[in-house]
Amino acid sequence: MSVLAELKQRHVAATETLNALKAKLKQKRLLLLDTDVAGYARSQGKTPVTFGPTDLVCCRTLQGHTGKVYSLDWTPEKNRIVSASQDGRLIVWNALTSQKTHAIKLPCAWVMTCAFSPGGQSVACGGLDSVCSIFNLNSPNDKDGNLPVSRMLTGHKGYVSSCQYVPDEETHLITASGDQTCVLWDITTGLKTSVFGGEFQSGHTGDVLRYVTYLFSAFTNVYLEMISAAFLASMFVLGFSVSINGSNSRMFVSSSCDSTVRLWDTRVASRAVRSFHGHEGDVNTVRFFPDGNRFGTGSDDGTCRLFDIRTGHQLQEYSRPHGENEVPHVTSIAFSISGRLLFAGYTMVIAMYGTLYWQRYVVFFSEWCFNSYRPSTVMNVYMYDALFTFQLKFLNQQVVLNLGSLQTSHYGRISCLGLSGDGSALCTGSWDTSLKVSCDL
Amino acid sequence: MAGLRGNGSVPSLPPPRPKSPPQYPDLYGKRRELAKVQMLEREIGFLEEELKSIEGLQPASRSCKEVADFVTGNADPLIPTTKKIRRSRRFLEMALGKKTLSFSSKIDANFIQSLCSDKNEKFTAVLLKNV
Repeated sequence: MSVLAELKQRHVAATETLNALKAKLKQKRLLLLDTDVAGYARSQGKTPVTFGPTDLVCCRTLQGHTGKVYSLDWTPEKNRIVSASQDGRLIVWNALTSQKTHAIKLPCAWVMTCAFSPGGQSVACGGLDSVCSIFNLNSPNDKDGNLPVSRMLTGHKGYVSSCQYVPDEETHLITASGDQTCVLWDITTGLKTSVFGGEFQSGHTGDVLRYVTYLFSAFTNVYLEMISAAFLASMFVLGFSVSINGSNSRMFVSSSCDSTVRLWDTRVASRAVRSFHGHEGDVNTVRFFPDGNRFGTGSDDGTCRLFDIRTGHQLQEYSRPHGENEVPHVTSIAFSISGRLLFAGYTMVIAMYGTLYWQRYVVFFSEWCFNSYRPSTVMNVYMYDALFTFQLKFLNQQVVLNLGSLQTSHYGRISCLGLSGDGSALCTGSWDTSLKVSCDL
Repeated sequence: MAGLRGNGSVPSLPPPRPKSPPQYPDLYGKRRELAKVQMLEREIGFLEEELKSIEGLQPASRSCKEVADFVTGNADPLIPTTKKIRRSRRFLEMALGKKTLSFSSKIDANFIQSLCSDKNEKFTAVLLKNV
């Protein structure tokens, strides 16, 4: 047992050294943070984008799911969307006509994520079954009228929370899992090409908690959530996200279990290229910035951040005011095609930021149905996000924005969002079972 | 084990139960503690490398400039322009078959005429094919 005691001592010493190094690193980085993006933009006299009431409104509502929508993905071209829902189906939509081209019954209903292949020929999904399933949209239906699974990617030891095809490659995709690894798969063989991470063996509390919260979210309805919204808000984010660099598909980022984000090179699975520190809570969502040299993150600490991959600097923090006992959790993020706009889905509301100045616009307000439909009651619960009372302040300028009408807003939590390939439309998916496509009028 | 699924019906799986933590053989007691320590020491090594690499790093302002130049240098369909008729509005109008929505304004004949002369709009081109 003395060996064990010695090891425990080493553990304590190593933890202390690690914490000291992290503090030193933070200090040194602070010295290099001579400005943030907003500060730089102001110094250059750049002017912020302004939005009016008819800019960015819902132009299509996609209805067909009978359960909460958990995930969506666009094709890079052709304006089709795949969505995954608690009802155990994937639906493929034509976003322009809102027609459903496929409704795929999943072998395991507990789906958490979906993705479209680059050519639009296949869709992938993953969930609590720890498997990533691939469907070829051109396959004939089986004798029960269902689209058969064309490949199952098995091997994860935990739920699959995120998957993305490697850009321009129909045969490779990357998954992120509750087992705290990311895997690069060869779909042709169904085998793992590389496993990233996996050195964390420090407990599985978070893992089990996410299982529980996923199942809970599948069963509760809006009324229960209203009662315990503050408590539950911290539980309903599924986490562990991955994003592949569109400009260099060998690089991807993944959110890690210790509030950091890791940058990986697919050729080097043994260690991350870099870790990014700064967030004070679980990082639930990551997304590469369109120039391929930066990425955005969203966290349980209520902030989104922009990091630079070459230097590791945190270039900007985006946050929203909130009540004393509330910390809004960021569930999903996306950048507009120019990178000028950052869309952040919170547990209730999507906020849209101007990346340069981080002025914040409330774009969509998702309302809860509480007894009968009483929007004023709902507004009071989330007043700081309410459409009618939201104020945008920038450089002493006050602009009241009243975007959209109640009819066009989701009335459930917004769980996912994404931009179309050409950047002209934003799709949001919600627990109200619908998806909405919005564009600029 | 990965493999092609047959054409038969796929039996639906029972509701999943949270799996017990992965079994790492022999990772109890000494070995688990050793693995944790090794992981920490590995992390220490990475952080020390990062501390060294910071010496030559450019300040954040250079990266901020790159961001600012990039976002202002590219067109963005979602950012409002001063044009009266915008590309996405045409998507809206055409996709909805010219129906009036509760929040949309009226369409005038000149506007429709102008649609036909537009050459560079992806959405419009696709929509005209679908109409």
